[in-house]
Amino acid sequence: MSSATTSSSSPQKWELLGAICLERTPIIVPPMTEIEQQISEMIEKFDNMRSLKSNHELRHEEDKKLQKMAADGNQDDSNPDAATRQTAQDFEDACNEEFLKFKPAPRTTAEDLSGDQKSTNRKLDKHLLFVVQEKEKKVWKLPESRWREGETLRETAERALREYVKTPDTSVRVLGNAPWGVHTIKYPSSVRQKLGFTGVKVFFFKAQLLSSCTTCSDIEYNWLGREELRNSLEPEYLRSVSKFLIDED
Amino acid sequence: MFKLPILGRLIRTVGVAHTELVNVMFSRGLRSNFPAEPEYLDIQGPQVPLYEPLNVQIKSYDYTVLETFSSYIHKTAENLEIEVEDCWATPCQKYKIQTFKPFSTQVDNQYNLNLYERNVQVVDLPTTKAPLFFHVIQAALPEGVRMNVKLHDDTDELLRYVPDLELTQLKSELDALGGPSKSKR
Repeated sequence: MSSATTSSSSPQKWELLGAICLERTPIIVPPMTEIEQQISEMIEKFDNMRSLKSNHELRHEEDKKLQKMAADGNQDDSNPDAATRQTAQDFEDACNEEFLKFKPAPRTTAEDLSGDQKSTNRKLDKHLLFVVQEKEKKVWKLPESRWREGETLRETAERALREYVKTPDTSVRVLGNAPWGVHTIKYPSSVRQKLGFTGVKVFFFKAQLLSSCTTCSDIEYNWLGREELRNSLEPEYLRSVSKFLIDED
Repeated sequence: MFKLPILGRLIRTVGVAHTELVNVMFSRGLRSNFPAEPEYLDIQGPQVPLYEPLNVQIKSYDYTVLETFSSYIHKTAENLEIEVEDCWATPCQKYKIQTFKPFSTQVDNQYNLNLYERNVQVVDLPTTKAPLFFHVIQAALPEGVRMNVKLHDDTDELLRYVPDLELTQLKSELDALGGPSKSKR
């Protein structure tokens, strides 16, 4: 209400930009926190206590009984192949051996250790965001481009993406036709007269990276985690952007 | 983002002045649950296009994780005021995997795996809420669970029914004998 009385009676004109927020979604699940680990161990203990005997455990008991009978000298002739049958203990030992032979892939990659911020192969349990550096002012921001007449804002965002990323090679899934967030920059009144716009509104569209990313040449880009994002982006911009990002520590 | 409905729940449990409690109860929940609203408000139809019934299908080899995740999907949908029509489990697919000793047909190891499946059907999903819903669920996907979202197909419905072997056997016997009698009684 106050702005209607102070500014001119003509409607405010805003510059519209569409920006794309390209994320590499996590590949592996984050490790359990201490509390989660304690609770899961406790639940496992409870389940074990309350559960009935499985086939494997019944077989083990049968084997023990047979062994005891054989030891006492009461050989049961009706089971001639009892001695050659694989006991439950043998089966368990073989399974454990096989399990020890299996080596899962490491959670931290080489890029994690080297700190290479241009690769998507790091921080596999976190989201990584694609940020580019503007050429003139060296400001880090999400790829954006100006809205043109006759196109939807989503098309603007996709065009912004194509300027920075080679699209046939990189497959991307844009989430929805509606923007996920907006960032407004109001020009000071001196600039407002000169440009004819009250300010800039940047509409963000979220997208997920589906394949490996090939970026266009000679652009400064980084794939940043949440912590690094806090250090690179400007505070106001960061606030608008983090409103629609999934919470992570 | 989703703090508003959760805050509503907290106010309910913590015990607030009666008027505030009443306001919270009236503002939560789907409009269909509230009987005193006049019907002319809904005559125009939905302001945003709605999706056809969608099935969120999740599959995993571990059914404890799968079941908790399907209840998570249900709860998330309820919190976002999305109508969940149905939530069912299809019978598991059993796989027998045999590894052979090298250069022979002797079985080295044999594994029996069961692939369990759960389906959650959401109905009347506004197109503006859909990306939000699926993004949240995808971010919460646990280990070993594969998620697939698809339009409801009638063939999916048929998989739920257990075939009546006796009936099919009798029917095939009837066909063998020459079909049902055509005379009217």
